Amino acid sequence: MTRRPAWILSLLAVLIAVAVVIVPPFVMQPFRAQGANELRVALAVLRCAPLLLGLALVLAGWAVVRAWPRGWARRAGTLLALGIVIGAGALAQINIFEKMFAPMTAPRFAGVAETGLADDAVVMAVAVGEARRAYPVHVMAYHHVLNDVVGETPLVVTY
Amino acid sequence: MWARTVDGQALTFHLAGIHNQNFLMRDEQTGSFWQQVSGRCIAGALKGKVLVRVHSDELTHAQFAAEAPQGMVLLPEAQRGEEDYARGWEAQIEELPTVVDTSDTSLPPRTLVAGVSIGGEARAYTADSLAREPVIVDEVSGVPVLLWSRGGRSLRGFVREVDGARLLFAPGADGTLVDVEGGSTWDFTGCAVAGARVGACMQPVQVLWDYWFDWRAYNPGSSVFGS
Repeated sequence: MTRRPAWILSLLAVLIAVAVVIVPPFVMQPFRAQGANELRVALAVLRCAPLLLGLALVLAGWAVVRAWPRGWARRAGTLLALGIVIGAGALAQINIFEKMFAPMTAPRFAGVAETGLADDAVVMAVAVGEARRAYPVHVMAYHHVLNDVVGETPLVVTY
Repeated sequence: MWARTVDGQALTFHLAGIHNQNFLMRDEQTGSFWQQVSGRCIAGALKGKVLVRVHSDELTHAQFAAEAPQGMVLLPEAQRGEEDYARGWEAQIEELPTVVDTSDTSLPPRTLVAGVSIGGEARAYTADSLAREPVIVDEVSGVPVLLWSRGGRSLRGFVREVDGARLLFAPGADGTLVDVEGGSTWDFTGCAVAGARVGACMQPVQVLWDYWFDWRAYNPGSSVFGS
């Protein structure tokens, strides 16, 4: 087996890590149509992100080990690539959609007389058994997704 | 609104993507991706599963309070202000571009419609037609339906059939409807409050307020009421 130069491993690692960070948000831009195939690729990248980033980390680490005895310039180059991979790994942990629209992790409720809502405010109303709940549209239009439990039933409210 | 228990497991959903301007959700438990408008899992271990819809109505707060005096209302998060819960958000959204081509239809893409889907047949009722005609008696996929608007977005849909009898309606007192044949009085919850059918309730029909482009993307064969 021929031994490939360390910089090829570094380059491969950086390409994989950067693709994991860039492909999903590039495909899922809000004001852009998503074709079926590109959406499939973007979601596959998101689902395989831990595996791909792990692979990139191993490649980049291996490149550093290979380059170490061969001088400062090669060490620095492969270390830089390792740094980029780690940085990309950190960026990939961020869900930009939840950065834009923060999830409501501890929803609070009030009785109909205590909400301060205008009479004509629009709510989404649900009945589960005896329980009645309303979700104001202007609140849901920001959070978009709310995991709730009404009565004994776990619901996801979407808008 | 969806039940989030799938195969006995309660899923926790996160906003996780967008598909032609309709959100994708991802569940924590399996990492699968779900289309918000259809409840369908489109990628991941649960691909092909569909969430069970829980009926919900869009109502004014006053209507909800009158019907459910013991009801509970979600509060906004205290630390968030107008920039997140902006009142003008609908007007702002209407200015945004759309990415789904609806040029083969007569409605502009951002026309607000109330969509009904029964037995594989879909029909859209524009907000304008509901404002003109607040009580619409129609048939979708052979099912007799009633769309009853209380102005603005307060709207309910029902199967207008009780004990095998199809009902037709005339306006009653205090915002009620009277079924033409039996003369019973029906309130906005879809239940008879006076007359021979008192206590009977019509089965609710899910109505989804949506923009035309989004409704049509997920209901490609949808007709438009009145056209």
